[in-house]
Amino acid sequence: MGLNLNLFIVLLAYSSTFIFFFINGKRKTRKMQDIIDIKEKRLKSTSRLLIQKNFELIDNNLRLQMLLGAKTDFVSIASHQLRTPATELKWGVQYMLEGALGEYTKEQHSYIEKILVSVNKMIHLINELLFFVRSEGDITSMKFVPYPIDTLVYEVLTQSSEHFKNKAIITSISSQFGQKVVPIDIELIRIVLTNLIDNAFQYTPVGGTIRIETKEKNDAYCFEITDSGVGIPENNQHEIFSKFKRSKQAMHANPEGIGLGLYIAKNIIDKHKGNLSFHSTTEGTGTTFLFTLPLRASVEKKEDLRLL
Amino acid sequence: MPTSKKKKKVLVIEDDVFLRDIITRMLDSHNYHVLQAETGEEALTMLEKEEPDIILLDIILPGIDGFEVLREIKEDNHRKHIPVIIISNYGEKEHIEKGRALGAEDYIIKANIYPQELAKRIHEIIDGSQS
Repeated sequence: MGLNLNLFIVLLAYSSTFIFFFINGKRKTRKMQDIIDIKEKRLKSTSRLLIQKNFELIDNNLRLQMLLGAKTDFVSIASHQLRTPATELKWGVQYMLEGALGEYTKEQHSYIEKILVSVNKMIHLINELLFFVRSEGDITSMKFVPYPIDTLVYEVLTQSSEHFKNKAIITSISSQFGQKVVPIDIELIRIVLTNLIDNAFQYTPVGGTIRIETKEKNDAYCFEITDSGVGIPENNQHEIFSKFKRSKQAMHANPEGIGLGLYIAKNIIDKHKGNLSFHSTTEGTGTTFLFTLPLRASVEKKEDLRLL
Repeated sequence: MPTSKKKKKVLVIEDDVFLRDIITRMLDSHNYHVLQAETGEEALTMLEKEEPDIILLDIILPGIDGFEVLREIKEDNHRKHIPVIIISNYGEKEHIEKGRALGAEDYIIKANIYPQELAKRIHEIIDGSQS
């Protein structure tokens, strides 16, 4: 009888302990479950917040793009509109200078000539503004097309030679690159070539020489243009690609220039993931400008904003 | 300068009075007979009776734009042979391409030239075709 009682007590003790641990375990599990629930809730709200921020980012991005587009459009429209009164000024003043409205005194004539120079400078600035706004445009608005770039070089050289034919400059071109193609935005690269080639003509004295060389090197297209011109003074060289900066020589050789050409060219080459550089001395050996363009388009695509 | 006795006829379609006046005086001094139109509609009406030797066409016009005028000229069997020079201060690549595609002989940005260059270009086109 005593044995049964002992057995009962032991059993009771065991089962109590067991029940105790069981209940405790359940409580712990419940506690852990609660903790998990809380963490899950937090995770959900953080996710929701992230999604919301993502949307805000997309929204801002779109707004920025719209603003950039609007800015580009505005500058473009305004520049084109400016051309009309500029044309009226240009043609009107020139008409006066022709004497069609009567003769002027030497002094009057001289003043009116100065006005015409000013008007032409303004027109030049408007043209540069239009180039500028094109080159500042969003990189996604560029159109890369495999194109035989040396064809473009010949085109621009022919055009510029014609424009500067009075300077009797001897040009030579060594196109080792031939008809191979390079992925480029044709119109933007045309702007770069026009800037570099026109500069060479502009800053080379009458009877000087300009030499262009193109070749493939290190998996890139290389373009080099060397003139026999005045050169770029050492203390101006660090500013060569800055906006509106011009050396005294530049201002003398080309009073109408406004110092945007190289800034724009560098911008465009950078957007092509290429490199634009130069070397120059004022000791009479002229200036060489060179740029490279990768033979394979490796332009970064816009990152997709991934939603959680 | 045209060498034939009869003056060549130029139709100038330009809404800016000042510019149109200067162009007209300049062409007159180069011995061209000038017809003037201020709008596309006016020009097309004029073209029903007149047959100019060449047309100078602005793009930004009050009513229908220059491209529309060009399209109608080139669709008219009796007038499509007339060379058209677009004179405009808009000059983005797409406008130039559009003009060429519609059949314009040339696309000139007014602000970048002097009026005499228009006379020179006209001479090249209509007097160059003479033997």
